[in-house]
Amino acid sequence: MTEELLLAGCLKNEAASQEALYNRFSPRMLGVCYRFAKNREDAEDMLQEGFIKVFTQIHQYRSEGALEGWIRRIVVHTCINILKKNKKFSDSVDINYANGVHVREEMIPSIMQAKQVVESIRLLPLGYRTVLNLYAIEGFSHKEIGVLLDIEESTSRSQYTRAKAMLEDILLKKKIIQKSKPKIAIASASAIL
Amino acid sequence: MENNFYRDDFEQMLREKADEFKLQPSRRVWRSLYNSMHPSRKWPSVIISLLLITSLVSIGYLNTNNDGKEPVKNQLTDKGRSGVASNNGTYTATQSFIQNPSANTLITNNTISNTANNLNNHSTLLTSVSNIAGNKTANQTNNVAIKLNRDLLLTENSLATNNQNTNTRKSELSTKETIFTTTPDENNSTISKEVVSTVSQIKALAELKETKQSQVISLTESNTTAVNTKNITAQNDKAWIENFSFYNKTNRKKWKERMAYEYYVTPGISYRILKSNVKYNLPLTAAQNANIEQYAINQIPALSAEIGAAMIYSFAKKLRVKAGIQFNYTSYGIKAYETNHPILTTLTLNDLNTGYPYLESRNTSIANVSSVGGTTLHNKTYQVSLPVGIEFKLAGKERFQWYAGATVQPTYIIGGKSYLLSSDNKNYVADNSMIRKWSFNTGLETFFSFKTTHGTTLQIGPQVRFQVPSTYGKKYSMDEKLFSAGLKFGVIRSF
Repeated sequence: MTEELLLAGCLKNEAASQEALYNRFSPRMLGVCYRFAKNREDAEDMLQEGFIKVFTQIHQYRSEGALEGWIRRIVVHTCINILKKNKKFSDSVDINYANGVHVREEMIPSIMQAKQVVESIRLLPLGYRTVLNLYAIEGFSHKEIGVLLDIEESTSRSQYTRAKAMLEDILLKKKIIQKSKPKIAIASASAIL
Repeated sequence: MENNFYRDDFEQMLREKADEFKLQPSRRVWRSLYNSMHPSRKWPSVIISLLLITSLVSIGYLNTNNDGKEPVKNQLTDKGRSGVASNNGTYTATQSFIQNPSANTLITNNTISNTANNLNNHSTLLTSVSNIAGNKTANQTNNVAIKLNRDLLLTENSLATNNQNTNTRKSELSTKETIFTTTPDENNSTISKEVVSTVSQIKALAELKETKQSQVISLTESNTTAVNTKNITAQNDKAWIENFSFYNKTNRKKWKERMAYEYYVTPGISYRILKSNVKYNLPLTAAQNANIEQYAINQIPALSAEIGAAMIYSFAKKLRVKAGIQFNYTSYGIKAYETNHPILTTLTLNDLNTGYPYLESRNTSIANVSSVGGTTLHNKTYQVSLPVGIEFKLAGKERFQWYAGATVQPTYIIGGKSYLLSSDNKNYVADNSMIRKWSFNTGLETFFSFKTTHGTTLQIGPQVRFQVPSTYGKKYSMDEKLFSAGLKFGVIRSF
């Protein structure tokens, strides 16, 4: 079924089209939710909320960009709203704690690379993880993140710096990256920031 | 990985890896989503749930109530207590009659006839009178009550003329009333009031006797005998009342005793009778007509099965009705041959508008004449039916019984497989579209039943089932009548 047919069916609130759309995009969107959520159950709740918004607001889609991008943006906003509603977003750590965090070996799965990276991201504290997800992966600017999360733009920047450093540490400990080059990378990153 | 890890490429690497990551959501998510998006479609399940709950509540209600009817004894008692005037006529409470026997009290025919009916039909008050009398005068007393119905109107005015002897008897009966009404148990109290009601009517009889001595002297004597010979102690009465309440539970128990449910399965074999369904001769070609008789149809029975559940209601000692749902599988085999290549053949079909037959060309690779490889075709149907029928007990008493039964079964044919015989009998054509959807079966059975010590009844016996209309619609030129024979195994449980 083409995307146009799917959209047309969804605009008519046809269950078959909605299911087809859901089947097409839900695995990737659940991956997005999973990076934000505390656990898989929370991620599925986020996904459900997100797709309800997708289906109820699909008439607002103007076909100007990719449908997946539009859905993804709705899902990400849904994740943020749920996190804010649950008041878990204030969870954060300072830089010292971030640098000194100990990542246990068994906490990081090693089945496949993408999963390793995502699981490493999920080891970050909620505040760091959210900023890193939004900035590095979802492509939001710090200004947008500040508005989204009700924080200062500068806070977003600093949170991201710390999150990145912490993630590097995790990746190093997991040996997903080599030690030498990441140090250079971190040094150069620190110089920029 | 390390190649990705440059400052400018860090976000890109993260993004690429994160985008690769997918998780398959559980089915629960879609179901919840679907229900959120289409709340109206949840209605069927909600309605079914409501129906189920309603059914359960109804069953529970039936199991704990008397079909919503007030017990007759309560009605009598309440009326007796309040002395309310009925629509059919006035009457004065029997209780107040006892308390104030000298008053002019009127008892309508309704009151007494209710009592008489109870005496006759339910043997309840008859039993009570019998117990009060404690001897064989109960039947006489019953007759007195019936006769009283006729005499009451004539004696209304004479009720006031009581004499001392009667008062003495009333005094005794009032004592009886006290005994009954002081019984602590509510049911017993109800019953006792019923008995008291009867007693008061007996008293009325006594009064009638006195005012119409010439007519009812014999009645008075029997009544007096009933009262005077009362040698049952209060404890005996109480014990009897308890027994009465135990053995005279009303309709609910009877309903439960009469109802049962049954599960059964009937493995067997199916076969068919095939005959022409063409009203007019078809102008077949000479070649087609030439040797049509020589192509005999070689068909064999095959396994069939029925499985079902039914509710059974015994409405007479030897007769019971049942209704339920049943799933049928029918099958039979046809010996045929596979051909190397498709063959053009024809089916004779009926024009439903004109009734005239016509030939329709079909391709097939199955022949009825010797060809490459022999095979067995299986014509089969899947049906669901609603059998309704009766069962008659032929013999047996307690645990072993022998029944014969018959059912009619409106049937819906869910689907099946059908190989149709070609016009010239040389080929078979696979075509399921000719199978009709609605059909009708009849069933005959006889079985032996054995009641186990656990209250379960097992039954086993032969059964045959006939299909009344053809398996195919009127369009096909052949009528097929299926019949099955099998051995039925059933389990019956009471409620």
